[in-house]
Amino acid sequence: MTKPANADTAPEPEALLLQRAAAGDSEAFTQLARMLARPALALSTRVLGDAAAGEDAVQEAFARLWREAGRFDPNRGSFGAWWRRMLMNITLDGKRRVRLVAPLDEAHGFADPAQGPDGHAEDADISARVQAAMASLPPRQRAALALFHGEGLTMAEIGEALEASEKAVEGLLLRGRAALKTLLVAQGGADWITS
Amino acid sequence: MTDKRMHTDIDAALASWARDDRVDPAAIERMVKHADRMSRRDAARSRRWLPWVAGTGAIAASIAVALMLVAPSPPLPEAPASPITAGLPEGGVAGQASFALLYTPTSDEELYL
Repeated sequence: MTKPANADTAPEPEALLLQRAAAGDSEAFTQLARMLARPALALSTRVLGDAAAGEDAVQEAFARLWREAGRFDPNRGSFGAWWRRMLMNITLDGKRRVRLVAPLDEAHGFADPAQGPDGHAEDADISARVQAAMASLPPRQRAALALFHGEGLTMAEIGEALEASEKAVEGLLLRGRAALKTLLVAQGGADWITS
Repeated sequence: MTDKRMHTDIDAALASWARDDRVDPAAIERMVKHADRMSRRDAARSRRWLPWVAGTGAIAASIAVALMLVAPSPPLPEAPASPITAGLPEGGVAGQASFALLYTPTSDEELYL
């Protein structure tokens, strides 16, 4: 994902590409889309629990990004925060049906070649269990957990992305974590949980 | 720290889940192509309309200028009558001056008065 808000004062490369896109430069927009696609798809897929729904959300977010490129004001915040908010807004749109069935098979879908065969099966199994339990959580809890643990954002930054107060974000994280633990224990085979 | 040890508590499992950015490369390509097609189409569309918009604007501006030049200018508003000449008959400035002269007594006439 892109840099957290106010990470530095230098113009972000994404913001510069967006500026060119706003002036009608389609090549700049394609370049920007290529930069954003992977982290955006990973995040949306995690939040929605479904790769196809995630892809659909990112495509819609790209369309909005193109339409509203001229509305971005670097004086009011970073591009990263602006884009994250747009992406989360579309991903958490009520129109999108969140899959409640755990995508266990997808957890093994894209194997990491860097990981050897030893430990892969066990880790993949744990990942699949976490993924399955995550599918039962409300999307906003998943989004908060994904932004906190994956992107390393602060409560304020998550609140900005989800249009919620810091207190509300804290609640989402605590409830999400507790629910996940309960679900994993209920599934059985969760003796690896120590806290 | 090995991956196995990282998965020893729920926060590590959460972090592993949240940082897993393995996605279908074909999906990335589809999304980028979609973004490329969309932006090219819109950019081409706006380029196609630009001459029309510019041409129409130029024609409208030309017509406006022509109308301003051809149309007769409206008459100037009349100055309000001054109290001195209010009772005098109409006839322009020269007429008003001769009328005033007619009723002004000369020095000889003033002698009789």
